[in-house]
Amino acid sequence: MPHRMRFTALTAGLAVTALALTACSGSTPGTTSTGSSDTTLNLAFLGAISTPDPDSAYDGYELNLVNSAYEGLLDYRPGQAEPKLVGRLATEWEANAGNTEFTFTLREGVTFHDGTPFNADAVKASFDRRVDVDAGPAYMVKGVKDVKIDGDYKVTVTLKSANSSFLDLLASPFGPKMISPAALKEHPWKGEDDNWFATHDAGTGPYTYTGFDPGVSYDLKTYTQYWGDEPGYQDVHFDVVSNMSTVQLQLKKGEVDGLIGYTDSSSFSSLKKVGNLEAYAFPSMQTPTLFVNPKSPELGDDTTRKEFVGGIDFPELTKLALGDTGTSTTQVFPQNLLPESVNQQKISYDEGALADLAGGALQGKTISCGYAESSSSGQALCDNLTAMLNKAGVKADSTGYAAGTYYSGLAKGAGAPDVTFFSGFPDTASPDAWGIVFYTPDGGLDLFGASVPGLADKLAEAATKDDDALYGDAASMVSESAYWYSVANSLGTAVFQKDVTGVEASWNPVITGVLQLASLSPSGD
Amino acid sequence: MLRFTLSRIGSLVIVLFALSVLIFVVSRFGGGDPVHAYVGGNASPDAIAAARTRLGLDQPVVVQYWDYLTRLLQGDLGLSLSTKRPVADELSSRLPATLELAVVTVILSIVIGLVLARAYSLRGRAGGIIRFVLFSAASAPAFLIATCGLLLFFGQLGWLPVAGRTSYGASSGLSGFYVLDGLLTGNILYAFDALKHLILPATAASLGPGVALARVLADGLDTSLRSGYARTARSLGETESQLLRRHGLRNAAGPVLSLLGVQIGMMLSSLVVVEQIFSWNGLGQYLVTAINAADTNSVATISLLLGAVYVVVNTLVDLGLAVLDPRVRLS
Repeated sequence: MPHRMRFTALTAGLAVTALALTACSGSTPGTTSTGSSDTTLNLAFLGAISTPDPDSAYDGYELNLVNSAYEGLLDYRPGQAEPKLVGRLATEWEANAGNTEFTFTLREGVTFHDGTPFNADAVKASFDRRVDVDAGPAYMVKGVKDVKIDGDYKVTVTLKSANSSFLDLLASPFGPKMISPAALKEHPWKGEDDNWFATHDAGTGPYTYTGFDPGVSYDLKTYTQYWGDEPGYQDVHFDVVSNMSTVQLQLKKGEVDGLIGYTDSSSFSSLKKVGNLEAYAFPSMQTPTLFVNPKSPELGDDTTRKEFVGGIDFPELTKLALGDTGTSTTQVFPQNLLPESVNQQKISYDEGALADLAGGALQGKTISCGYAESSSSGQALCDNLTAMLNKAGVKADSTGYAAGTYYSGLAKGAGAPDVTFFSGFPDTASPDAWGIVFYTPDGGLDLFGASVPGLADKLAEAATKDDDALYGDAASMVSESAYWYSVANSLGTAVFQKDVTGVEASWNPVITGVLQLASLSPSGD
Repeated sequence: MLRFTLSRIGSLVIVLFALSVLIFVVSRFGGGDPVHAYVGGNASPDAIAAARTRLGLDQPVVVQYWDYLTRLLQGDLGLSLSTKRPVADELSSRLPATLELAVVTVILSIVIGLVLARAYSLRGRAGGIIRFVLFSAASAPAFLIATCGLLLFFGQLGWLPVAGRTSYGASSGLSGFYVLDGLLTGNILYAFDALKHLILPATAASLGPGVALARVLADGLDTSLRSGYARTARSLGETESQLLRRHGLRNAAGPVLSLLGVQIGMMLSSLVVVEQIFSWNGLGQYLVTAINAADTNSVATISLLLGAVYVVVNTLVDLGLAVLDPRVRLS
């Protein structure tokens, strides 16, 4: 055969082989078992998640695994915006008048996934492990002085000092979970590089970890001896997908049953229009907040800063930047943490303020807005604020920071951006978990280190007395300082195939991106 | 040969040492703070300070580097600050994924190069059109080809899978190369499925290098087949096929091989993008995640690994050149 003909034959052969490879099966087999099924729920994680160890999980999305396999003593009622404590492994609870002693009656007839019966011994062992691991959420039990066991099903927890929000700490999505004492004995904490709990579980939850391919996929299976209602799906499979376009295509084609969180405003609006999908937006305590740099050469001055913040049309900014994923707010602390009457912004909108600043205090100056590149809402808010300022004649620019440089970038004093937007949430449904953290330099997320004289003391007093009026005073101090402005209430988003039901009753009132998976079921169940 | 090998090992050591210094300096002075990635978003200042101490980040920089280097030499790659798993564990599943994709990509690049080289050298209007199309394809970035492939073959036609390495869970085989493991264990369905998952990412990553190879090969063949020795060979009765095999390909192979070495280096970069688009759980995807989380231990290890791969590949290319062309001396 002449080589030209051989070449042609080779080319044709390659083409035929390629077509045969691609076409012969007709459709994609999918991931393990893709598409809706009556027994397996296929979900997607957009990007890697942290290790689903109950005592180090402190990011968010990994809680979809942790909180399916483990339970704490208390919880917040899912699917309800106003937080309400409900018993999980505790059936009754009581605090003494000084909020230093808390007595719990434990649920009987519960077993851990390794078969160990749940009783009072597990409480102390579980608290102790959290302290040993000493990761981010360890603070929740560091105030515990003693756990006194009174029979198999009663414990009294004594704190080192009064804490009116201790019950909220136990109900937090990040709160301490009960772990089998037998498993804890067999697999004591030795450090992260030898952590059995990174890939196994020993909780009491409705699901148990079955398959772990970190960074690729995670599998949950129903725990048949679960004390509560049987979950709607026998198995839950998570695939890690690394880009939004892929997930959108998979959702549209029905290869993935649902996506919890992740969607930015644009993706969410797009998915809402897809016929086979139902797009959900739930209330949450996540609150995108404007932080103003107290050392900013442009906005450090009290009068200029207050005029600047008052000149921003926040409802319009919310609409432009967050679309269907947020609603404008007039409150200071996140919604449902305090009565609305004591939780109102003190700075009123002044339509002409920005134009006045453009010709006055900010003439010839540039306002820089920094955002974390990992935050789509932060970027959208910065970009739209910049456009708003430029339109009013105030020069402004918007700069993204890689996740690892964001916090350190904001700590550069006068060299840091003038403002930033950060979408935070409290660990618990207690104003204590927000006020100290965001509004005092010792809290951790007072990003520019702004300090208002007397505010830390006011918040501490409010926490000790659990007094809404005192929190209201603190909210006024926060608002009047104009160092912070709560822009919106973020809505937690989820997109599911229409034949998945129970989503409305599965969301957490505190954080976004986490659902109670056991509440979901295929339609018809 | 021995001298050449020793010199290349020496180069490897120097490159890795230089990389380790560079990576360490960038990770410590680049403005990032890995502690936040480690402790989580809402961590208190106390938790952050405790983590900083636990990770040794409160030590003087020289002490940190010495600690880093000694651990590295002992094979301790440290802990991934974002996933909180040992970096070695992360690599054990991701390295085979990237190698499998890279091997198939290289093979596909060579096949594309060989097939298109012939089309590239066609004369007349058809040749012009083919050259234009190939030039355009070579100009298209991998992410664009990947996205188009994804929309067409998954979104519209539904012929190919869009994410991951397999539909049936991790391979139980030893190699970590899913296609090979499927074949070795007699699970043809698994191997076929893994191959289907490879098609789109490998094509997206190989099209650019394949076309580049085709152009160089076509030029080399053209020059070779017009040369005096080709005329002599023809006059001695060699067929075009024999001429191509015995003289044309061999003489054109030198530049192609050199280019292949460079292309493999560049391919590693494009694999980062391709892995991200196709949710391919390899080093590239891990690197992106680690960079986003300021996970310096992981970034450092992957960078060292990629540096080592680059040196080794280019050493192999030099050896290949010497085998193909006796005029090339390894010294």
